[in-house]
Amino acid sequence: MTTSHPSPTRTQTPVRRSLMQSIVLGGVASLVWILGVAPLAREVDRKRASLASASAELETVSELSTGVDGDALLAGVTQRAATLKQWSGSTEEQALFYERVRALSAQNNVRVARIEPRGSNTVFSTDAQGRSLAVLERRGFGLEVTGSFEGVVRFIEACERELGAGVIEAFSISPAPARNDGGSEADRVIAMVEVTRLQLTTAMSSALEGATP
Amino acid sequence: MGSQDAAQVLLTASRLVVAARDGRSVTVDLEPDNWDSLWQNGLSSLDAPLADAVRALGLRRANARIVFAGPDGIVDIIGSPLRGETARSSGELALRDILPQPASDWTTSVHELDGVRMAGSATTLLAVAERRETLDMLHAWTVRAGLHASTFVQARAVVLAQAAREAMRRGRTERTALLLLDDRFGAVAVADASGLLVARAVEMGYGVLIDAVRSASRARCSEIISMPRARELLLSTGIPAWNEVYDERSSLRAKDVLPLMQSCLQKFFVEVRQTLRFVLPESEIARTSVTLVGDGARIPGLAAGLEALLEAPVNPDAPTQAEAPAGELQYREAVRSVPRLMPTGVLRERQARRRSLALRAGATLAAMLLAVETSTLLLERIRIESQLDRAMPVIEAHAAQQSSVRRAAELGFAVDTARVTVIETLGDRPFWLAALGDISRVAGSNVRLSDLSGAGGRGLEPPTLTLTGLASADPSEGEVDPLAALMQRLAAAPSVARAELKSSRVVSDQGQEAMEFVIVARLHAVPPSVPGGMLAQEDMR
Repeated sequence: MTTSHPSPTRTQTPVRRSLMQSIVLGGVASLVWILGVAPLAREVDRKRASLASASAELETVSELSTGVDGDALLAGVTQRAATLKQWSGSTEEQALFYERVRALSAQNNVRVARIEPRGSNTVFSTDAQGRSLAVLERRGFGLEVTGSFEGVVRFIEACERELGAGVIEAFSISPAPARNDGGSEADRVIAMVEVTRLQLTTAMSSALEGATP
Repeated sequence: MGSQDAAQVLLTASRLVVAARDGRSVTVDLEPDNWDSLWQNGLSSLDAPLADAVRALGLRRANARIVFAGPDGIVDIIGSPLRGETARSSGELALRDILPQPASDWTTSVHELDGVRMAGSATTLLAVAERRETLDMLHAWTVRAGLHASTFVQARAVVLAQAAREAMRRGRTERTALLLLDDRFGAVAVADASGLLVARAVEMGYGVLIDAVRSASRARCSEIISMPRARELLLSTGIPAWNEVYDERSSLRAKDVLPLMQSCLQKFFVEVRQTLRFVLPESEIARTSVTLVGDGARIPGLAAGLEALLEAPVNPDAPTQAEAPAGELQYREAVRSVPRLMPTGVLRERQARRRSLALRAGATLAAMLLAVETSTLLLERIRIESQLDRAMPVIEAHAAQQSSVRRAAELGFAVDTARVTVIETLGDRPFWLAALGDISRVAGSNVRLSDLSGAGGRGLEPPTLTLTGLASADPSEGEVDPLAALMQRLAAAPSVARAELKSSRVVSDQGQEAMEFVIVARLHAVPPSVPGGMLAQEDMR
C-alpha cells in the first residue's frame, strides 16, 4: 500500500489553526470588552453612583425642606445690610457728612459756624469664628451753631435723629454774645455740640458687601 | 442504511455496489485477482467506476456508509464476564492483544452484540479492527468520488454478526453448527441452549468456487468465463458430477472444474472441523448437524459435498430468491449493530467540524454576551440619565436655596454683629427735643437760663441736662420760692427722671433779689432710634 499515515504536521495544523482562531476570537472579544463594554460599564457605574448620591440628596431635601424661601430670606437680609450701610455710612463718606450737617442747619434755620473733627477710635466685636473684628469707627465732631433757641434745639435733635448712626455726646447752649458790628443777638443762642458719628469700618463694609450676591 | 446515510457503497474483491436509499443501485463486477493491486494503487483504479455510479444515482455530496472488505481487517466475538463500559474496555484490551504491532497502526471499535449471548459470559462483544491506512485510503477514495463517507463498516463483521445471531436463534432448540457462506466471506458459529459457544470469521466465501470455475475455463477453454456467468453457473449447476458437462456454451467439463472445487470444499471442511473441535469433543462432532446458510446455501451439491467430508449431516437452509436480498442489500439490516470504524481523515474532519462549530458557537455566544451586556448597560445608562435629568433640577434648586440660606445666614450674622455693636455703642439715648421742650415749658418767665448743657451719658451714667441761670420771684406765685417751684416743675416733667440742685446763691439781678442756680436734671433714656429696615425679626416682634 502506498498511502502513508497522516504526518504530525497535518494533524496538528487544523488544531493550531483552531487554536489561533480561538485566540484571535478571544482577543477580539477582549478588545471589544476593553474598548467598548468596560468603559461603558465604568460610565454606568459612575452614573449609578451619581444617581445614588442624587437620590440620597433628594431624600435629604425632602426631609430638610422647611418651606423657607432662601432667596426671599437672602433678599431680606441684603436689604437690612443695605439699610445698615446707608444709615451708618462709611469712613469714606466724611464729605457727605458735612453736606448733611449743613443741610440740617439750613432746614432748622441755624448757622453752623464751625465743624471741627475730633479724635476717633475703633469699636471691636467678634466674628462667627470668635475672632476680633473691627466693626465701627467712632469719629467725633465739634460743631459751633448759632440761631434761635428753638432752631438750635431742633438742630440738635435732628443731628441725633437724622445724621445716621450718631449721637450727641454733649452740648452747651448759651446766649449768643453781642456782635462786633453792634447788631442785636437777642433771643439768639450759641451752641457747642459734640457729635459722635459711628461709621462701619472698611472690613465690616466688605463683610456686608461680600455676603451680598 | 442509517438514518443519516443516503447511500451505501459495498466494496469486496468481486463487486463494487453503490446503492441509493430508494433502492436504485449500480453494480460493478471486479476481478478478484486484481484485489491486492487495487489496494496497492490506493483504489485509484476504482475512482472512475465509483464516480460514475455516484453521478448516475445523483448521490454527489451525499452521506454514504462504506461496507468494505479490507485486506487486513480483524473481527472477533469476545465474551466478557463484565458489563457495560467495563466490559467494552476489557474487550478493547483483548482485541489489542491480538493485533499485530504496532497497535497504533490500527483503528479499533468494540460494541455490544445485541441478540447474542456467549455461553458463560455476561456481555458479548463484537470487536473489529482495521489498519488506519486502509480506512484513510477508503475515505480518500470516497471523497474523490464526491461522497461524504460518514460510516465505515467491515463486511467481515457483518457476516460474523449474522452467523452468530442465526446460530443463537437456531441453538435455542438444539445444538447447531452453522456455516454462513457469503460471496467473499464466511463464518462458522456453534450455539446451544446455553448460548453461543463459538463464532469465527472465515476468510473465504463461495466466491472461491466461482474463482475455481473461471480458473478451469482459463485452463481448458478458449475464452474465460465471465464473473457473472461463472456465478450464474455455480448457483444453477452447483457442484457437478464427474462426468457432466459443466457449461455447454464453453464446453467446460465437470472433471475440469471439480478438482479445483474439491480443494475449496476441503478448505471449508477444515474451517468447520477446526471450529467444532474447538468447542466439542470428537465424539460429539459426528453427531452435530451443520446448517449451511447464506447465498452459499443456494449452490446445488455444496451441502452434499461438505457432508461427505464432515461425515455429519449438512442441511442447506438457503433463502428463496424472493427472500434473499440481492447483493449489497443483505448488509442493510445486518449492519446496524456492527461497530463502525472511523478513518483518521473523517475523525479529523469531524474534529475540525466540532472545533469550527465550537468556535462559531463560542463566537456567537461571545457576541451575544457582548451585545446583551452592551444593550443592558446602554438601557441602564438611559434609565439612570432619565432619573438624573428628573432629579438634577430639584437638587440644583435645593442647592441654590441652600446657598441662599447659607449666604443669608452669613450676611445676617454680619448685619447682626454690626447692628448690635451700633446699638450697644449708641446706648440708651435721651429724647433731647422733648427734654429741651420740657425745660422751656417749666422754666417760666421768672427763670432766665444762662447756660444749658447736655451730656449723653456713658455706661451707667444716665443722660443729664445741666441748667445754669437765675430764678426770680414770680408775683403770680406769691411767696413761693422760685427755685423750689422750678425744681418741682422739673421733677414733674415727663422727660426728667430726677432733678438735683447742685448749687444756689442769692444774687442781685437788675436791682432785684434772685437765685442763681445750677440744676442737674437726670433724663429718661430710651433705646436709640434705628431705621426699621435694619431691625432683625426678633427686634420687630
